[in-house]
Amino acid sequence: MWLEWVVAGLFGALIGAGEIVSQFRDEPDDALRTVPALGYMLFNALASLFALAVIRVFGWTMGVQDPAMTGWAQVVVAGFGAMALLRASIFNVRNGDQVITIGPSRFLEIVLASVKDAVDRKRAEQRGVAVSEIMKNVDFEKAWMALPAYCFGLLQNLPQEEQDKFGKKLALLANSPMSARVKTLLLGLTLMNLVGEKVLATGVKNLDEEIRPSPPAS
Amino acid sequence: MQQKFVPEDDFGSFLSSVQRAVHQQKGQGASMLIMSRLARQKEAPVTQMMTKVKVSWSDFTEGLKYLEDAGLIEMEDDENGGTLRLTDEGQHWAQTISLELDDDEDQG
Repeated sequence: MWLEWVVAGLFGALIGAGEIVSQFRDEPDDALRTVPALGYMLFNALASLFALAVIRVFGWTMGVQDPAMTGWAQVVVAGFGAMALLRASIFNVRNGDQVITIGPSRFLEIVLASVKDAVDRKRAEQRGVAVSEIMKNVDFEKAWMALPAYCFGLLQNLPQEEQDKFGKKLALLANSPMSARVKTLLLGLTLMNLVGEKVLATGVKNLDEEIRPSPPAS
Repeated sequence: MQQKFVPEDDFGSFLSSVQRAVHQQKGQGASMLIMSRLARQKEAPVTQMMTKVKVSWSDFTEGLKYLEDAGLIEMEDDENGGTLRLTDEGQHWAQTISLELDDDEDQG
């Protein structure tokens, strides 16, 4: 039945999507729309379809007696089976302090790393443009406490550990002799990594005059 | 009698942890020197970095610890005394810091 093949493919694609989302927490939807990410999901989908094909060729029924349910049992096993097989390591080789895994998972690690690099390169451009646009009318001295506090208030569930790390970066910026422009861009960039582009833009929009540079005295 | 401020929620604890970090200043001077240097070369042996940033050993180690805690660099131990690398976020910082370094070089 064609629907079972579609579901098996979707199963694999969703697992691939889950991995991409876990790597790009700030704007997962943007990351998923990049060509390398789509390629990675397609690769996982094809692996699930291949697993389903193998199961059908060998006629494995997974012990299910009802013929109507056998197909769906095969779909579930193909989805999980492909996931487990692709992420399995047969043995580890130690090279100095480094542990190198040997097996299909090694291949997947390399694919995922190249996807990550490609996605990151593509998104670096988007992020740079977005940060300079959002932060163009923001004064670092006025915003460095108010803007993060407001954005975290909007999010409500940011882990304390992340907030502490952010606090250290903020202190580094506040005490650094860099120009106000670079400090403002770094503040925006660091906040965007944590809360995402939309929350940052909302925070800047809502705080508006509170964080704008003062007009030059006439 | 002066009362000690006790944060009542996550929001308050964030603000007080930022204030603490801002006033701590320990290691922050060396941190920016290390970041500026890494913005140019992405990764470097610890020994080489130590000679380039020209700060005392204690400031240097405080700076490294600060950057590690902030999630901007990671240090990999090896037989040459360790290598410093920028994390993903550290690389974003380095790209932005290098804008200023490029401007300085253009003017200089």
